[in-house]
Amino acid sequence: MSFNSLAYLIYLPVVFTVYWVLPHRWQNVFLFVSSYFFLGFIHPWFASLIFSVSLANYLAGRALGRWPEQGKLVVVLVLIFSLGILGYFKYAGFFLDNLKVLLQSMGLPSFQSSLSILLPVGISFYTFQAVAYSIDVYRKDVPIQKNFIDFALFISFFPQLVAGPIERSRDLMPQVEHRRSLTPEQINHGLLLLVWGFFKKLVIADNTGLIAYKVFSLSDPGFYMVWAGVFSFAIQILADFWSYTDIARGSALLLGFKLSRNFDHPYFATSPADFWRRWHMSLSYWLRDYVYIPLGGSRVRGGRAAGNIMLTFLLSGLWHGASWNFVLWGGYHGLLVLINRWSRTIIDRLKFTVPVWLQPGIITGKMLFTFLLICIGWLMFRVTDTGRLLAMFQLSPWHANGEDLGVAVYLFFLSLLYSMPIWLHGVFHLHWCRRHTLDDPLPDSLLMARPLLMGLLFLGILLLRSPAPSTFIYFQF
Amino acid sequence: MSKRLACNHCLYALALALLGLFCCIRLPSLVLQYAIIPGIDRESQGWWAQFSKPTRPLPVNGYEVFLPAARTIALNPDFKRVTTWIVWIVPTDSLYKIQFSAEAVSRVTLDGRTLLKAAPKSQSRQVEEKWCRLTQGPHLFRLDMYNKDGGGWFSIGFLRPPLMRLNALQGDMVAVLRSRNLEMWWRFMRLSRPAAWFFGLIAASALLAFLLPLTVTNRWYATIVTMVLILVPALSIPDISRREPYIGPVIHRQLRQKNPRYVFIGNSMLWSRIDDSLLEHLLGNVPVYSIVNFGGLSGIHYLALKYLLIPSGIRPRRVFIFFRGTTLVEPTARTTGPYFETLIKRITPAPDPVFERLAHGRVTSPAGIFQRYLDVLFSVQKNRKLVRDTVNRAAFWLSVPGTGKERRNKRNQLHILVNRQFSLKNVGAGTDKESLRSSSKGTCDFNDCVATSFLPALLDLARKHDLSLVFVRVQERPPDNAPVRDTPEMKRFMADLRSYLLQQGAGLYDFTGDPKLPLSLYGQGDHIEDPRQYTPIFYDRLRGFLQ
Repeated sequence: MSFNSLAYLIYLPVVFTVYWVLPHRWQNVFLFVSSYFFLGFIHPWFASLIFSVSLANYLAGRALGRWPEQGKLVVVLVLIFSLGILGYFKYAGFFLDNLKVLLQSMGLPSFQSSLSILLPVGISFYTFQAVAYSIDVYRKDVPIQKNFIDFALFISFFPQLVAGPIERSRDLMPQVEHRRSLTPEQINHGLLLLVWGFFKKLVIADNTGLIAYKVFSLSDPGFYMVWAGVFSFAIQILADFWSYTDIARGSALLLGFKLSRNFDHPYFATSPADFWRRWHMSLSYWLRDYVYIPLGGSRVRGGRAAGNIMLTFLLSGLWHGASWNFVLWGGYHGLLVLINRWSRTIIDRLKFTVPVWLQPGIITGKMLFTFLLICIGWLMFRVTDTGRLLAMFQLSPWHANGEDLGVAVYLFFLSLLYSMPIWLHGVFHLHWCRRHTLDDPLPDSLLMARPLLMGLLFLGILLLRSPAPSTFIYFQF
Repeated sequence: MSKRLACNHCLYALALALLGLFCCIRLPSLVLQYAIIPGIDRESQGWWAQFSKPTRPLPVNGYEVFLPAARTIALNPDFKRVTTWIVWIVPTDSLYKIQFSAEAVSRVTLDGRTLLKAAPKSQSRQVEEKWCRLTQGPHLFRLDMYNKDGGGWFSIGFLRPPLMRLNALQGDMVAVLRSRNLEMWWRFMRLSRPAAWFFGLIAASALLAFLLPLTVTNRWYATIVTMVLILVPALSIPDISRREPYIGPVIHRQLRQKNPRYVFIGNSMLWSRIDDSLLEHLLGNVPVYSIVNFGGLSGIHYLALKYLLIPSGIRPRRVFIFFRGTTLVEPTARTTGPYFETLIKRITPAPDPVFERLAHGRVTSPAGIFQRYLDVLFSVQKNRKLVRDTVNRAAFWLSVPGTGKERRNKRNQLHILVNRQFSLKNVGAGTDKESLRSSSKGTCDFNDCVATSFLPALLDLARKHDLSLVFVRVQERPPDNAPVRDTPEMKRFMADLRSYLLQQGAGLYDFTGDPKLPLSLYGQGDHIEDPRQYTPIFYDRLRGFLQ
């Protein structure tokens, strides 16, 4: 079931009503069943896959409690099983295709690859979540979960099941175990998140997505057109993924759960490293805690530290999809972070201090430059055909068609207008964060702004939603 | 105490503002009823014109005159400026399209509201059009015209779905005004809209001022207001069942009277091609009947067959359905918007489940009803176009900012460039996996589209009622007098369509590439200038189907 479907708009109120009528011990059972129904609605077979991953990691947790001395073996076995399933469903086709090409290029006898595997929805998300639990139990960071229903609900909780955020057991598990309550603030905030999420998806992502689609459908787009298309795609992918997180967080809040934030206005980042602290935060933190730090993190120096960063980002790219363009995208971001690190070290050594009056300008410049670098990465993400991607990078503004510039400027402004609420939200957020923390409740004077804002967003959805709605981009990962 | 006092003041302000709002909304109809209608003379029909500023010295500075109501009205060349009035007695509640063209700068107002504006067009007679929903009874038209050279002409008429024939404002539908102080009453009417906004803003402010102080301590209260503000519009139950009068019985009676051997279903392509009386003559006085729904495509043709032809009980020997390009497999095309909504309601007695499913993707389930309900509540179809157009215009303006003719022309050029850049010939080769995924629109492959089109439903209906269908593809406008040639994709599409129809027992005739259809025969767009020139060609080419 997709969030942007009428079925979900019926499903959520039904679940909400039944859930709050039930006593606490039945609430989890009901949520577990509804979460499996949610996934089974897409394809009944998907439910069996998540069940097997949940069962394996649950048993691993129990085994770690019973035979702590065999902990390493248990963790290795459950990692092989869980990542094996992920690898088979997500990467087997990619691996075989590349092996075939490699054998052919070496002049060796090749084979006929006929592997066509349906990628189970959300597999990358719930596998990472389940694996993180087993590792945390092995590290004794979290207690062992003995109740299978609670554990299965932690893995399959429907709002974050398909596209995250990837929750950590120390955050979500206590919420699953303990009694939950419904407060007016939760309803208020949850509804706002839902409406804002739907607005971002149906108005911003789908409209800018249509512009990007049109540009990348052109047989021979010029330099300016390509970059106008990239700008539209940059907004589309942010609004698309962020909207999913918001709808997930809003739905979870209505059920008494608080999911972690996945985005923090990433296009207001002042450096590539800052971008990754704001973009898909749950994946960034997962990779930091389970890949980067175990590899040595920043404790090691020189080439090894750089290698760790590159490896982490290459894995991040590969996590997004079984295609070379994603690997390239991951590598590009790894490189950006490394360059950023080195340049920062040099600047620190120079002990250059920026005058206070110049700081806002410097920060704005940094934001714009970082956004530009991120956009270059989005082109790699968007164009899966490597040949076409290289051709696009070779386009020069000096040889571009003058007419293209006018059209590109128009497309740029069209995307900017559709995405204006996101930028305004970002500016408001920056202003808010000067005096408050993100967990501060909204002041009373602003409490009534919510219904008005919701009304406006609701009208915006009705009147501005795209004529060509599309599925969430991150569903494929 | 002071807080309660403030609340009371807010409530008084709210009540007064709501009263003001109500009066302003009702103002035009009150003025019409009590000031205008008593002064109309139904015996004489015409325009009450007030001229001013003569171009040559005349013994009078301005004078008033009656002009007989007619389709086109010429004005005295001695005057630069003219204001004309007429009362139009609208025959029935309906959606009307007002069509207007003029030689000079003009403005048409209806009940004080600006309806149309025309820029000077000395060379071309460009027609300005506007849809408006009108209630039965008298309505006040005012037309202001200014021509710096003096004189000029204007032409005004109205069209009403479904037949959309142009009617002049004349005969017993109009009346001359004899009211005094017309200008003053008209200004009152003009005032109603800004005044309604003014009172509306006061009402909203009073409501906010009343609500805001209470939120400081009560978060439950804020939550309830949140829910109510979202749900109230949905609870104010709009009448989605209100329907236009169904014209089926009239058409059924006409069909029974005529008992045609051949029936034609189509849009303006049919209307501009087939002259019924000439075809009847060519066929040797065999009766034929055309069901023309202007603008309609396959969905409307399906409804016409199902609700206009079949219930009449007439079983013609053949039913010809006219179509263009790939429209037979485009079920959603031309099925939304105020005109088509009215048209659909007039040709169907109740919502058709097949049509709703195929054209609007909605089912006659609670969810479908909810969706339709939202559409009606917020006038979604109409307002969506308005809002999206505004965003588009803003983007063009930002790309080429500034006012003035030169900037406007540059914006128009950019518009043309954008359309050219994304024309079909530029799209396709670059369509990659992502593009296909993010697009909901498929390619024009017949086999992919046919299942979700109206074609199977049309054929099924014909089979059930023992009707023989023949699909006639009209030739599009030839480019520069060269013969029309299909693209390879279109050829494949037509081949697939032909074999599909053959399997289903229906006929197909394609006029594309017909040497007897040169550019000289064409009028506007793909329309034929004179159906009397085309009808013999049609008779000649489809003789096999007409025997």
